[in-house]
Amino acid sequence: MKALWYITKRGMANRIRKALRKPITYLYLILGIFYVVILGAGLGSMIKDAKFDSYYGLYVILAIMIFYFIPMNFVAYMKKKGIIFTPAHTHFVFPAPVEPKKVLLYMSTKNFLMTFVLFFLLSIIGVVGFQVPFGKMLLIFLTGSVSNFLLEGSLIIGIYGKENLDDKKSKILTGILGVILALLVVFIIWYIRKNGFTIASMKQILEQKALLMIPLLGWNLAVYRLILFGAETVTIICAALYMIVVVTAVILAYKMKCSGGYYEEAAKFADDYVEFRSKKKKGEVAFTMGKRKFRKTSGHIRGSKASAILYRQLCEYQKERFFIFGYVTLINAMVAGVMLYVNQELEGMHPGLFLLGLTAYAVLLTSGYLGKWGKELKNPYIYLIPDKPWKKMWYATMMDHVRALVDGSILVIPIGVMWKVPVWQIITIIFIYVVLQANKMYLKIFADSILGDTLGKLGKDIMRVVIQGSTLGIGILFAVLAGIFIHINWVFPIILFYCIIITVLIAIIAAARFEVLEQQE
Amino acid sequence: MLEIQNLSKSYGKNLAVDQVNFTVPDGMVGILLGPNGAGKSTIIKSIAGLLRYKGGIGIQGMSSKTLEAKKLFAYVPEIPAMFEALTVKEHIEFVRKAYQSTITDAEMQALLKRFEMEDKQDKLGNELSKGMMQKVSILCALAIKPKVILLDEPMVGLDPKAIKELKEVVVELRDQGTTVLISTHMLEMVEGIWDVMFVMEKGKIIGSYTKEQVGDKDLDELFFEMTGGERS
Repeated sequence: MKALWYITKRGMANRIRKALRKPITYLYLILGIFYVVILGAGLGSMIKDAKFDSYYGLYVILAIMIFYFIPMNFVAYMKKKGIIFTPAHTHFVFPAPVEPKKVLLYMSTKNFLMTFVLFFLLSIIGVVGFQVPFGKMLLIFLTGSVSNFLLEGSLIIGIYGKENLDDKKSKILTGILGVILALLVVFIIWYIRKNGFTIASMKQILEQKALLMIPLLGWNLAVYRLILFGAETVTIICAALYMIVVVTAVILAYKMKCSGGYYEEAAKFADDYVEFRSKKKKGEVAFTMGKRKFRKTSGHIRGSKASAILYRQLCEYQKERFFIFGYVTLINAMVAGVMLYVNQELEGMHPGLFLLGLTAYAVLLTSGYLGKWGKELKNPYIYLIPDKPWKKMWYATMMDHVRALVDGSILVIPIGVMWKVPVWQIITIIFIYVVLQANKMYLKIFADSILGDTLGKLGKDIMRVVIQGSTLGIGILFAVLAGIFIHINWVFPIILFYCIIITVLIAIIAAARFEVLEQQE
Repeated sequence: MLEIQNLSKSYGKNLAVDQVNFTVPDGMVGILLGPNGAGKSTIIKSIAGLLRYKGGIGIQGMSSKTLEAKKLFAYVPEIPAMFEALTVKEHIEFVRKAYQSTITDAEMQALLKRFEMEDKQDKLGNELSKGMMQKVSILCALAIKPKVILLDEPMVGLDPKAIKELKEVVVELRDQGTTVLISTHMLEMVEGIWDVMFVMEKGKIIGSYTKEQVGDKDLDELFFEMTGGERS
């Protein structure tokens, strides 16, 4: 175990030392503190506004935590995805003479630490926001963090360490738990929508004695109820049952034999996790880990020179399960669906302008298209294709313009028809959507080429938003002026043409990125 | 000594290794050969304790799953993976602590010098090239002072000097009584240092030879004769 702590200790020290050498760390630190202060202040006033500033408010939060986090963690552990392993662990830790159970506990430190921090923050909120006496809050903190550590640790050893856990049984159990969890979420959403998120509405559910009798989850809640509201027969029995479960779990985990059979799944997880992380680093959206399944196609690729890039991408999209439709399509369809469902009347507002605003907001919200083109720049072959850089960029990003056209239409047409927006305005707004997405895409290439890796992904994203906001802001200003002084209909073509001009200018600069592989790092 | 008894491993319905038996005695270098997909990596990973399997694996007479056996065993995987935030020196230090190795600082420095890593000791894991990672992986394995060492494609990514040193190290280990098992495709790299050879195909050992049995016969020739492939 000493050797494992050595990895954590030295790793953390090296990371901190490296981070302190970068000026950007201090900027992120200031932004982080600012964010926490704003969030804290907002949360405080929200608690007061919702009349949540009593013991009961804390009890509600604890109940939500128990009924959500315990089953969620359990499902993650059952799927063997609750603990993060890396290939370095596969290489150095798994073959080492360290007890596999100790490896599990060590690897779960992050999870335990998160629970500890959560209870610590909750304790501060409890004393400051919910006026819970310090003694009671300390007791909640201690029982919460310690019992959670013991129970979760035992659970992890029980699930990961069990050598003969039947895969079929484990899948069935995970499935049942997943369904229960989903039903619970649906019920909570339905209940809050129906009765509102107030103390009175929450009290109605939480005062049900049957709730405390739910094994493990209810029993855990009974412990906090006992501390917060004093002794009642049911509360005492259920709290005692929880303590018995924790002690039994610890004893069973201690006695259980484990020779490291879980290393097989852990090593596979480590490989998948590396891929998942590298995708996230590149800005791609990765929903799941593991091998992706592709459809079979003829695999015939047409085109010559730079246009071959386009046809290769098309071939790849044909193999995708959802063709060119991605998460942006889903979000746009959902936004359109919600707008149609709500069917809000636009009193005194210009429907076309409102739709334009909504579209621009949707573009800002989604992180642009990082589909196939995003990978092109990483492939050395693209620089070897005997064609002009701007052509390579055009063909590498063309499919994503098509995707933007489809996604934009899904968002704009249904809402436009509902609000009776003139057809020419609907078409113009769709084109504005396409150009704005293209603008984001080319700005990303531009930011990559001038910043390299100096600011990281977040820094580049901030810079991209600043450039996009300032350049497009001028166009919007012109459009608004034209709308006020000439005619409101001028807003649409002015924004479209201005965006096209800016996007083409950025594209011309960004095209240089397709000339040579070497960029500023 | 490394003993493999009735080792079988399936991935779902696919039987990757089928009832494999072999032994590499103390002070001998065994080589595991076979075409891609023959099951070599599965055997190697099973010995390293990274897979569930049926059958038995013994290290110096003990089950490979016991901590006592693991203390005597070193593993150099095909693809090395470093802790991003640990330096080269700290990787070795971890191994020393985990295995309670008796290697001294002077011995470690000599090994670092031998593999031209002396000036790279303070480099972080994510600052190393593939070849350097492979060297660190080998150095960590040697820092254990193992009784059994498993090397999976150890020459890949190494420069000629490091390959030469590694071959010499393997011979030295053998002379000190260590059991060595090397899995490789690069037959010319193990020519001259092996004692026993195991050829695999489709999850089974299709032949095993000692150096004496083979005599002057070319390793390439023998391999292609057994697997039915053609020499390029």
